[in-house]
Amino acid sequence: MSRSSSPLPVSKEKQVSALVETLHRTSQRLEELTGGELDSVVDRSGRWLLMRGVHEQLQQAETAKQAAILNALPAHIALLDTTGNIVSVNEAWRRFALENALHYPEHGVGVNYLDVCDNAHGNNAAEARGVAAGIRAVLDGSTPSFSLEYPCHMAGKQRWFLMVVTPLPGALPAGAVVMHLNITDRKLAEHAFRELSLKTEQRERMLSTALSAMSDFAQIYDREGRLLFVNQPLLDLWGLTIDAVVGRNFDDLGYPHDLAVRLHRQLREVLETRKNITDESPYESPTGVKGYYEYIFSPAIAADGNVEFIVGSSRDITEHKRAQAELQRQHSELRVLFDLIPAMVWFKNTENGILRVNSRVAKAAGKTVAQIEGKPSHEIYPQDAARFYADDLEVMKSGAPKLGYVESLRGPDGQEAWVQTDKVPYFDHDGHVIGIVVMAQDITERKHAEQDLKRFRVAMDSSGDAIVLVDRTSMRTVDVNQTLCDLLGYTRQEVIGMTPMQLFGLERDALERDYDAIIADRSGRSFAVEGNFRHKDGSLIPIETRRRAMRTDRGWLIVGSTRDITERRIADNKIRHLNRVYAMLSGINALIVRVHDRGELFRETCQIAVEKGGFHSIWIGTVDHGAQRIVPVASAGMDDGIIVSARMLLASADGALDGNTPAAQAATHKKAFVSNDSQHDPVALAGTTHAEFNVQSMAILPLVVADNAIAVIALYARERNFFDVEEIKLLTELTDNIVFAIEKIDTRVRLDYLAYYDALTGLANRSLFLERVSQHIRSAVAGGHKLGLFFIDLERFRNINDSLGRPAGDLLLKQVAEWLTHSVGDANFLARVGADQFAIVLPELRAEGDVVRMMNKRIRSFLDHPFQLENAELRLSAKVGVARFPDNGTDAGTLLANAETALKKAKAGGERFLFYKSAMTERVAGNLTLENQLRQALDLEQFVLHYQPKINLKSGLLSGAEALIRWNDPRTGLVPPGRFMPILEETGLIHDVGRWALRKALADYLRWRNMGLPAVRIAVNVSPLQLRNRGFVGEIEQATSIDPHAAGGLELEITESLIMEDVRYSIASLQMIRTMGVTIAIDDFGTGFSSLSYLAKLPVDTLKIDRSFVVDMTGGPQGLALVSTIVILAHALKLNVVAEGVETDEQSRMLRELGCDEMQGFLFSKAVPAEIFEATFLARPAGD
Amino acid sequence: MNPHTRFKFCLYVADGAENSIRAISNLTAICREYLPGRHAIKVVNVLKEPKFALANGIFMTPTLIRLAPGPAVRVVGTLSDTQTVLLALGLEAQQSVA
Repeated sequence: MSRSSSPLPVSKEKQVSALVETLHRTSQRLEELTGGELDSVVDRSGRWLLMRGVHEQLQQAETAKQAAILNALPAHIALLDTTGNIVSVNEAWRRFALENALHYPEHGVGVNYLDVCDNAHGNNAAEARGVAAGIRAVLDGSTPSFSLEYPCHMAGKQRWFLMVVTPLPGALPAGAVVMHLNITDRKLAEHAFRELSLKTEQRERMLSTALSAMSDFAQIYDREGRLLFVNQPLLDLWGLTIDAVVGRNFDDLGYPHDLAVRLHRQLREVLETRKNITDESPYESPTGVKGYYEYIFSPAIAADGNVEFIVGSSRDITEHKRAQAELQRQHSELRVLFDLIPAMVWFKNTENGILRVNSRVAKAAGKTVAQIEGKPSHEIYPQDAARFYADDLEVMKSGAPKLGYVESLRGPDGQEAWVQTDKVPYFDHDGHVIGIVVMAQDITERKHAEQDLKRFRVAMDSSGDAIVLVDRTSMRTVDVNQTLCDLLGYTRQEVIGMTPMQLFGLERDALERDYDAIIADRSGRSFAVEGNFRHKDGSLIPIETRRRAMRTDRGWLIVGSTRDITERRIADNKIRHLNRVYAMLSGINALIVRVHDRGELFRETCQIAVEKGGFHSIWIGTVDHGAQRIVPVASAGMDDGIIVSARMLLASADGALDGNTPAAQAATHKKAFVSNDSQHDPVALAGTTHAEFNVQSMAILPLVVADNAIAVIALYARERNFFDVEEIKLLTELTDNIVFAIEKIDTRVRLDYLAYYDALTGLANRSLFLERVSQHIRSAVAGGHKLGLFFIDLERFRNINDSLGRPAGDLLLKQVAEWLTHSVGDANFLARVGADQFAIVLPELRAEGDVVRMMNKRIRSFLDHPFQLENAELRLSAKVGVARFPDNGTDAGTLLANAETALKKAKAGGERFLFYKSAMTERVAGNLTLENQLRQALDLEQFVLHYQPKINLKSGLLSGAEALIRWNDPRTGLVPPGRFMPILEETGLIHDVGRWALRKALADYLRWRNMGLPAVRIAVNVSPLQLRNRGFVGEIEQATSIDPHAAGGLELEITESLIMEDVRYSIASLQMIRTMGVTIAIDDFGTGFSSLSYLAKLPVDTLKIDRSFVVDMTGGPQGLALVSTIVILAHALKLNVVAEGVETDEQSRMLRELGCDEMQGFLFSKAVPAEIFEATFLARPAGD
Repeated sequence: MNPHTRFKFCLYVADGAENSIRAISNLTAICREYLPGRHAIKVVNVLKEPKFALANGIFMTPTLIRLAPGPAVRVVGTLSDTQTVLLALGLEAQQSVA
């Protein structure tokens, strides 16, 4: 309490006491309210008031903090009052006192420090007094602070202390702080440093020597990049002394500017980062030597952490660089070589890791080299790695390479590939395996080629044909198949290397010529030849070879595919032979009917034998029993010589009838004389004659009438063994027929014969056939078997007669008769029953199924048979009706009639042959009625023409009309053409009806034209029969001659298939018709063409697209493409295109887009009667 | 609350007073546990910056203000009752990540 303050009056004191109480309570309340969690609040004036106790707490905390700091300090600190008494000490002071046994009570607190110093004695007494003086100066404020370093020997240790005395803060002297700091470490360091400093000169020398001894170039730069030091090697290099260098920078030293800039920059960088920098630079020495340095700048860091100077060290790496470049070059070269190796190469370590691969490996794996190198094998070859490694291990374990084995692996595309692999281990210096080199060559192609070859071999060997490959150059066999070996009796080894001359038994020249022709042909087609193979045993095998040339890398190969045709030859020969005999028989049968006397009979017989029988020569000699001579009366042959010689023999003494000439023997023994090797047969008495005239077989047959040999027939053949048993049998039949003819002539029954035989073919006629059938029926009844009667009709035969003429037709009929005879095997079962109709009876009929098969086969071979006509081949077709006994009739007449009915039914339908069924009779009758009605219709002019307009697709105008025939039957009305056209065709009525249509169309056209109407060209359909008729062109000419404008109004529509039947003839006819001014349209185009190439040749103007194409056109892209193609094709050939059967707008639109020219169809109009056509389409301007 | 929201706190204390020290240590403990890596704490000594405290309407210490996310929330005391503090600060749904 201050003395100036007066005591408070009681009331005030009470008030104060109340306030204090309030304050206390308020404070307490606040405490309660805040749960003792607050430590300060703000009052109204914004001053922060600390809560109760907080103040002390803070103060205590502060004091504690300061004490803690003081205690934590390592210095010994004591607080002195103004008189020098120690007021307080810190922990370090206390510890020091304890350690040094300074046994003051309370560690010196309360002791006067000044007295302690003043009373010091010994070595340090003077110093201690100095301390006391210093402290006093601080305490009295005469000096701001006092400090002193002093050594102190205590406990056997030399220590140094720094004593600092600072006054306590305050306006008045309040005391001081004395602090003793142990500076022993620093002092020791200073001592050491001083020690070192003494040796600097020496150190510099050492350093300089060391630096100079280095082969590297050493420099020391100051912070500005100036040289402080350069070692001797560098001075030597520069040719300078140290004095000339120190203090200079890179520019001064004549470094190239760029380099100097770079080096300065790097030095600065070292200064900043305090890190080493390593780099290279090229140099050129004053002597012009070029090279490379590698240098390193290192900072020398001073105690203060700053860079004091920079040490540079550089070395010449020119050699190293060169070596490195060389190594790099070698590496590149090796890499190139490595990649050039035509195989995949892997270097692998022992752990199946891939060390190195060449680019082929990468390519095969679909990766880059970098992607593979360093990877484990299984990562690159997941499927195969294990397998590869197994092989690798084997090689690495054994240490022996594994070479040239073939394995398969899978490429990145999954394709199997084949490789031929070599695996070679490689070793370190000590001979340990450290890896493996794998080299794999892709032999997939070779492998495939091998497989192909294998397949080819199998294919070749399994071929039924013998195959031989001949090298044209060496003329040697290079390969053959097993079939050839089997055929020739050789092994493959034996055949290969043989010459084709040996195989074929041919001359080398001839064979080479053939081969060269094949090679020269270049078309790649094969050439067929017939010839022989020579078997190992020497026998000849008839063959047909197809040869083809094949170019190989070693020249030309001739590939021969050869077939053994022994069987075929035999069959061919047999057929030829039989044909010949039948031809002869048939010829002679015909002769019998025609010939009137013996002389003619003999002469004609000789002619037929040579011409049809193919004999070398023949002569017939009559036996003159009176003169006992044989007198040749007729002969024929290739060569008269043999006949002359025979005559001479017969005229000679030996030629008498009782002589032993073959002819005499045949006549006297009434038995055929046969010599099948007449040149060597003594009994043939041929001498050298037969050899001279190339005859090897001879037969002489007697003609025996009434048990009398009245003549002999001598036949000569070129072939040996010609007259075998079969031949003799046939010849005997022939002589029988001649004898029969002689008898008939003799007995003048020739007329009777005529009544029974067909003069043209020599076959039985209808009445003889019926008689024979009756006989067969009797034996069928007796034998209980069935009998078949076949009625055959040649199709289109009437047309052949019409178009080619009667003689051609006759010739064909004869050939048909021969074919049938041959086919049936017995002329007696055959008859010609109509102009182009034949009948056959089979006395014993097998089951129906067998008959059907037989019929199919026979008809097929008939269709295929090439009949000869005017040096051209002609194929005929036929239809057959079949009637059976007893099912279809019990007498010959009924059977024949029913067979004919079945035939007609077959003709009306599509069947080639039909068995008779009873209901047929009526239908055929119906057709016959229709035929009659049609004939009448023509006479009564019941046919009418309807016209269907054609429209130009571009203009929409009427462009033409097609005339269509309708039959207006007064009983049934209009009959659709489908009902009657086939009958018109079949009966030939089409000629007449067609002619009528042509004239009618022209008449209508001309009438319209003359009326001044815009008449359009009218198309008239031409039937196949009409076109084939030779007179057709004349008919057109005649029809158009009525008016000069007629031809311009006519177009003929001919179906495509019809033209194609006989292209050559069609072209000729159509050309003639076109020259008249009549145009030609191909109807139904697209339905019958086999070759479009003909289209260009055909003289036509218009092409009509068949309605089926028009319908298909809207059905899909294919149909559309087809029509488009036809239009384009037609336009390319400058043809007008008409689409038929157009029924929808869509079709019309599409056709217009496709460029089709015209259309006709229901869309525009159906076919309408002439009056309506005239009124609707012509009478008003077209196109309205 | 978005688990990535950053929290900003201002803790007003009175120098080294006991409650203030407790509040600081409680707050840092809560933040370490519930808002690791997404909190910032500013400690204001009202005895040194009395005007700043007054300007922000602080009348007693220790006072904690949640500055972000807004709106500001105020908690007075030592922050010893963790659940209450969490509730007050809108951290009740926060999962302890300790």
